[in-house]
Amino acid sequence: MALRLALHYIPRSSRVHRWDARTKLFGVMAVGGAMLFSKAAVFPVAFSGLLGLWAAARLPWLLLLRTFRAWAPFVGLLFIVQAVSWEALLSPEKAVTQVVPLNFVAMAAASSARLMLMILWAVLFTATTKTVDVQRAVLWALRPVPFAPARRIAVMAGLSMHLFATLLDDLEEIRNAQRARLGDRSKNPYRRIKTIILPLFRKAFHRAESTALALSARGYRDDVTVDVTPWRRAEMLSCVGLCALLLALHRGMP
Amino acid sequence: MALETLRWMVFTCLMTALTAVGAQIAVPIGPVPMVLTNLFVLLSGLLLGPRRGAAAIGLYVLLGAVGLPVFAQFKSGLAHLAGPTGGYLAGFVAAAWVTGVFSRASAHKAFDVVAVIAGSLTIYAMGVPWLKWVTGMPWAKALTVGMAPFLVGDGIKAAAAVALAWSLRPALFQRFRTAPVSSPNLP
Repeated sequence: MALRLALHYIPRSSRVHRWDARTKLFGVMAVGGAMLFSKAAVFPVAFSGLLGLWAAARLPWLLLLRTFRAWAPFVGLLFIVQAVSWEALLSPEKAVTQVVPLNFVAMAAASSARLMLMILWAVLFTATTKTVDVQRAVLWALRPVPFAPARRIAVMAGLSMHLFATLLDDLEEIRNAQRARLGDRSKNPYRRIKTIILPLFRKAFHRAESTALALSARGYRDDVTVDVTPWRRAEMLSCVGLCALLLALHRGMP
Repeated sequence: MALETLRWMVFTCLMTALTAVGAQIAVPIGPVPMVLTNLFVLLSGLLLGPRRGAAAIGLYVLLGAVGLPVFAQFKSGLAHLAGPTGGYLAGFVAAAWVTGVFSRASAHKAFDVVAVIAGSLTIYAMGVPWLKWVTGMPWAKALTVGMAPFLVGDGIKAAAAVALAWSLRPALFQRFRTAPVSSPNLP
């Protein structure tokens, strides 16, 4: 279970790892947004920035390949769908250049490259930021929102992860029990869903009830303050600088 | 804090955790193997109502986005939100809310059926345009890739969600009815 739940953070002693989670989060959001709306000028900057930060963070290059391989089938499918001209494909007389026109291929390639870059930037963020730091960043971001109880959200995130781990064990137990009774041989998908989900819910309700009673017995309250370190001015300004650079590239200025 | 509030809070977390577990259960339905995320999204709306259902699924998306391995095949990260699947994930939150609204509109069971249909359509209504926008595909292609292969499976999952909601609701609400009243001495 511990292996399954091993988070996707890769610990390294690097400057990128030490950056504030908010800096990285807003940086990745800015680059992602710029790639969605941008002209071609942003792509080389985003690509070289990704490689530079990947090297600076001392992340394994294999991770880059692994991510690429994991997303390749989906991005590949999107590439094929975009590269093929359906009108030409359905017409009786067709040549290869009409079915797969060059301008369609170029557009599909640009779109796939943009998607892969956005995904890799997000992976860079996840691999260099501890979950607890991200949770604090979320807490920080939610604090000014009047109707979002930041402290409760943080506690709920912790509780959900605890329940997730225990429910996975329960699921394994139910599956083993079902296999022992040859229940996994049923071809009926509705029956298969029902025989897994109902016992899972029964266990889950029992766990939830115990957890609620335990929280109540320990006097849980929402109004306990949590200290979140302030965002360093230099890092905040670097985020603003990045946004300005991307905006300048988008408008075609030097 | 009142026990009732705590109980609802834990049950919301439970639906978040169950949605994450559902994302790991692959069932061969229709042309492609399906995970049960949608089923739990719809079930959240049916069992918890619009506000708590949306909160449970919002928390699920948030956990996945910040790097906890709750998405299908223990994946996670901002890539799922920023990438082509982002619209579907945002659609899950909206779908839980829509399902809850329709389901709570009347006690009649037919409203649950309407609720899951509306919920499923909400997922597509947000997922397909996002897919189209991110990839730059025309509508016909976006619908072929992002909707058509999943229709059979989603129909079965929606039916299963309604059936499960009908059988689970008594057990869920019985807990709230028979629960001990919180002590006035507790904070």
